[in-house]
Amino acid sequence: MSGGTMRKNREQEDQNMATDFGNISVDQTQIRPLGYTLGDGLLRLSFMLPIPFGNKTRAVARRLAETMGLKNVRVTHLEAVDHAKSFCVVEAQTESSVDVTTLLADVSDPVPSDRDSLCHFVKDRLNRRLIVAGGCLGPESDSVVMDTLFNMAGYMGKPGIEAYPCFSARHLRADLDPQALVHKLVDVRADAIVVCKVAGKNDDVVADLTRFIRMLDDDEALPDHLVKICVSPRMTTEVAEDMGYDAGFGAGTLPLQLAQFIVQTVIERV
Amino acid sequence: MKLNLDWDLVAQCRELAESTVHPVKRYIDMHSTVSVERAVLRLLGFEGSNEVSPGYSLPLVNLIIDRVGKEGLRDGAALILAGMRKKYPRLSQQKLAEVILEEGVGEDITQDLNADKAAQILKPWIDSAFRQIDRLRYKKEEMRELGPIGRPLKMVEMATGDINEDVKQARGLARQGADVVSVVRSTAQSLLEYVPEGETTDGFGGTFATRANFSLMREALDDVSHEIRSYIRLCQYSSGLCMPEISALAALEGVDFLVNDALYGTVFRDLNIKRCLIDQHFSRLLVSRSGMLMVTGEENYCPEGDVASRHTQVLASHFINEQFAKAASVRDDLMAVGHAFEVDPKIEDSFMHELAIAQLMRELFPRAPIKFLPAKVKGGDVYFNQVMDTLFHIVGLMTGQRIHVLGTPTGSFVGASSQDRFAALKNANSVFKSAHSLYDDIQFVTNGKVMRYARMMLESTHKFLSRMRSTGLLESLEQGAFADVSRNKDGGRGLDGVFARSRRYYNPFLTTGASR
Repeated sequence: MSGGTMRKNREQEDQNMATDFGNISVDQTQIRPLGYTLGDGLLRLSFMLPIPFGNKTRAVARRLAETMGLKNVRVTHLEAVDHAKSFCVVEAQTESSVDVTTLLADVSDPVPSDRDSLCHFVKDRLNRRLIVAGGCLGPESDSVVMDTLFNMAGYMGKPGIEAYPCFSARHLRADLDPQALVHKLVDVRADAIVVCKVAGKNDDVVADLTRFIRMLDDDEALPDHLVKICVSPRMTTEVAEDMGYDAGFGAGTLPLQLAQFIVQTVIERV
Repeated sequence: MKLNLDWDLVAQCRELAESTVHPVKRYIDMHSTVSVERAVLRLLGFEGSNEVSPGYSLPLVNLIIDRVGKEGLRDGAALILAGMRKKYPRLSQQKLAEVILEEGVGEDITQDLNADKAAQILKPWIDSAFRQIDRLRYKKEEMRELGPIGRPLKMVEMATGDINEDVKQARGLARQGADVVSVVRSTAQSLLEYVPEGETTDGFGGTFATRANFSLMREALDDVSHEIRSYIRLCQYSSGLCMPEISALAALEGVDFLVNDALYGTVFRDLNIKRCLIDQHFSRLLVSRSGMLMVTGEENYCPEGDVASRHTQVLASHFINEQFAKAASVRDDLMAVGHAFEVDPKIEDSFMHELAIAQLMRELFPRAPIKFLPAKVKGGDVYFNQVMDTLFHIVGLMTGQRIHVLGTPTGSFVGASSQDRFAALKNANSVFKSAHSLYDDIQFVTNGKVMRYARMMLESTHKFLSRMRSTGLLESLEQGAFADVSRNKDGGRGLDGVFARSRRYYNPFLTTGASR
């Protein structure tokens, strides 16, 4: 779908929205939340206050909402949490509104940002699994960054590449001779390679990774669309791009970021 | 018993699981691992760390094991130490460690020793470990009398990465009604080949499991338990390359619940299965000696695929895990297998299926306090998520579950705002109070949906186990039996730490660990 048709669709949607209220036409230049009646700007806020529950709590909650510029504030619920905190629920009205006609629809065609939709997206567009290979040029103990990106258990509670049905993850493990790794990539028909290198005592991460990408570039049997990614605890995309990789990821990367990047790049290239 | 199950079929499931586990258990009994030996050293009183290069320290137990080498370890670290202690009878653990690191151990150090002699030489150190473990066991048993009694335990998962912050939050949660505080580990600690030292403040997405952290947290919980007159339990995670060591430290520091699951480590962290199973066996011996509650993690076998096949895998894994636990003399009532609530409101009767599975688990493992977890995947609609959590609590009460892990309107407790934690605890408290006796009054219609679904699941689990029995456990894992992930029995991290025991192998905690 090109950007142009996308925009057209969004405009169509906007017009449909306007007719959803039957006879009443909604002023597209003044859109505000809808509560009991159209245009009343009703909001519900719930929050915790770090003060003990007492005869001032209600006033504090009300004042807080009023200082936000809200009107007709009604405190609908107050409760003691413990000896130091109170829980409040407030209903109030806002006079703020948004002029929909001045906003541009998001014309880019973004890759979905959650696992399920991303996998559906790949199925719709490519109708096959993407083969993602991972290998570590250094010893086994150095592959932690990559392992957390690949393993089912993933990183910070976010499942790794193995848990994505749209990927077929091939963990080629560690201590790999670069040339052997390139051959393996050909064997598994990889769509993307995630290569990992951690700085040891006398290692030069950049030199090793640069040598490896030359081998990748020289090998004719690899597909043109191969997505080349390197990971290393201090890696940044700038450094990686300088070496000729498509991207570089460092410590703290979530598997989803990696997944999105792979999908986006493959789709641009095939 | 409410489901009118075919008990012959249940017995067959257990027999199948037993004969699947049997050959693996034989393999386990012939091998040991570097982490088992490090745990032995820790139990014998070896502590502390040395700086190996500027800014980088390793625990003494790692340095000793590396110095001795895998070949030297075949007799067991304890036998070597007995030899060293015979040679230097007056040295403390610390001094002995220094000697070993400096001079190494002679090749003939264990020559005229056997298990009996070694046990005699090491007696004061061995006894001291058992005294400490047993003392904490009695303390825990006494404190449990404080309560709570007669309702499920509310377990909250937390971890800020900073143990001091964790302690503060844990006290607050206990006062708001949490019964079990579970400290999630720093992400991927399971991949480390050593246990960090000291109180830590720099975990990612969790707090490192260290002896000092265990001790600090347990102390804080003891305090607050006395304050609110209800015993607050501490749950820690040990699965991974240091499972035996973390288990030893947990036993020595009075941790109450311990997650130790080899299959989880293999399936979800690509750790070598042989390594994990050997480690797990030793870990479970310690769990059984110290009266900890053993917790498993198979409820995680759920990312994809249809619910029925997931449930089959989870149930089969429970039967397998039960046999491994029995092999380590873990008592039935100290085995908490995991079950995650799965209701998809878009699917008709998915609540009934969940009810059937939860009741089935209850009847298959009647004495086990199943760890019951809320829906893992949640969107941003906090109102809807509250409804799901309420349904979860209701299923738990209807089926007599004993441990409810609490979810929050935004997902899990880890990283939740104080407002969401409050909402979650209020939700659980309301359901527990208002539906207190639900379990006693529920019966299921004969041959109704619940009964039929439970029976179907038992049959498919039986089929799954018979397939696994004929294929073999390790080979089934290779074929992707669990969570559709294939793990080669010689692949994954950690295999290089496995070695065959010699005929003279000695480990004082292997034979006496389970003697209660």
